Amino acid sequence: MTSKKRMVNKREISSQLVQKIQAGDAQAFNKLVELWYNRIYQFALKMGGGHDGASEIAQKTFIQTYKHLGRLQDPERFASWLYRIAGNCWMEEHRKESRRRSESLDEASLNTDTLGARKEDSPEEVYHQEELSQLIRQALSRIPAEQRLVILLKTYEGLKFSEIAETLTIPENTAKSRLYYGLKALAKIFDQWQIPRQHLLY
Amino acid sequence: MTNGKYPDNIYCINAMKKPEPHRLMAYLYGELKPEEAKKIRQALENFPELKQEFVELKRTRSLLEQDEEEAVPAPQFILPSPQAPTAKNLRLTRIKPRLAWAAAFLLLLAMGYWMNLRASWQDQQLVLRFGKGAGQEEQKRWEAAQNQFQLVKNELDSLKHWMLLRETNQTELLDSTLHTIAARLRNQGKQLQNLSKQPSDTPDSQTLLSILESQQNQWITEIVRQVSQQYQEFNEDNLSNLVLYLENQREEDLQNIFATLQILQLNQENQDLEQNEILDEILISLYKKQKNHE
Repeated sequence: MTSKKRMVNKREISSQLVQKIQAGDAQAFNKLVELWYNRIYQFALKMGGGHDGASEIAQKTFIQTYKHLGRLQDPERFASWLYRIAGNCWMEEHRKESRRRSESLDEASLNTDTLGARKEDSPEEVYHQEELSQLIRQALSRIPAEQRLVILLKTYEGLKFSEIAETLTIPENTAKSRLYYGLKALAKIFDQWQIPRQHLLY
Repeated sequence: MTNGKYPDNIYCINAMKKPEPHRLMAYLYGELKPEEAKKIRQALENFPELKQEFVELKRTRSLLEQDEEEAVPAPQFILPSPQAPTAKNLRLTRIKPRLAWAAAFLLLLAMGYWMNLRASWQDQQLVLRFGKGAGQEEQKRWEAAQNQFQLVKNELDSLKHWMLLRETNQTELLDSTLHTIAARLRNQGKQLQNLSKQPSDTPDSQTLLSILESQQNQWITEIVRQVSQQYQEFNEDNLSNLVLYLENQREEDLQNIFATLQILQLNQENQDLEQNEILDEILISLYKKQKNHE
């Protein structure tokens, strides 16, 4: 089954589960969590905050989801709605963290701590020390959060641009532009780090 | 990139001009119409530097997609049984009857409290008349009133807790309802104060007293009827009826209730702050440990 078909199937199942929950079948909620937990966890992890933070944000997201599911009028749009909640939960946590550390949003200090202070390390050291996934997370942490959000929703969550626009309540072209500038910034970072060519094949 | 000469939607289909970033992204992720995609492909051929940029973007996307995620197991949420409130049941229409029930219970307690105080006022007239026995009686009534108030406070406490657990808006609704009642009660309180100043044996005050007593009986009967109806029908309109009857409560009672609510809210906020601080401490120490470990 292709990725697109899987996504369509997942959305259909989600829509059915949402309808069941709204009809009073509270136990269907755990099936919904099972279906989406890993995605939300990975989303939160890449947004920054480490594994503990991702776990906390994922749990908060689903608590909020359960609390407000009755208000979701169109179950077909569950995915956009869920990512919006996850994004809001992350932003809330990030704001708290920023207040604690009195640092700016763009510095994305969460990952700096999680991954260690690598700014002083040479690119080669960084690459050798970290796994690829950590490297990606570190690069993502260095671009603005608004660009990071769009990159994650597009690249890993497979949302259409129209869905990203709906999730973030921004115009569709703005979502595309943020993706463009985000990818450009990442390309520059990867270039500076001199990522070996085998990882850049497509 | 737009030169003002062409409409925005025409711009990208001109293969002799560089496409805008958002169109390039739509192309990269396969969300362009075939005819537009064809023009982008032509533009990429016409502009080597654009093609180079596109290749870099594609490589970056490819690198991101290579991230192998380690799946994490989903936790099981302990949820209420199907009979208990679900997400749907938490909606306003379902929650109102509960609010009405709580309000009715509160009303009955407050009515009992008010009856004691009215007796106190009557006693005050007797004391003035006979000039003795006021001190002990006042003490007893004060203690009884304290007990009644404690009951009201406890009930409010649990009601508030219940509301906070479920829906913040409902707490606001409760506060707003109580504020409305207090505002309307001021007039009633002023009437009672004026009445207490008049000599007890004048025909006017006696008549007013009997009217008030009669009204009280009617209210209690009506409240019981309303509560019963509320239980059977779960009719939202009954809430507003009950609110009307609640308007006849003593102002002082409500002021105490508000003060209690504010204290409760303050305590809750302080508790939340303390909890957050503790959580912060734990998180920071975890981060430090993790950092040391690394």
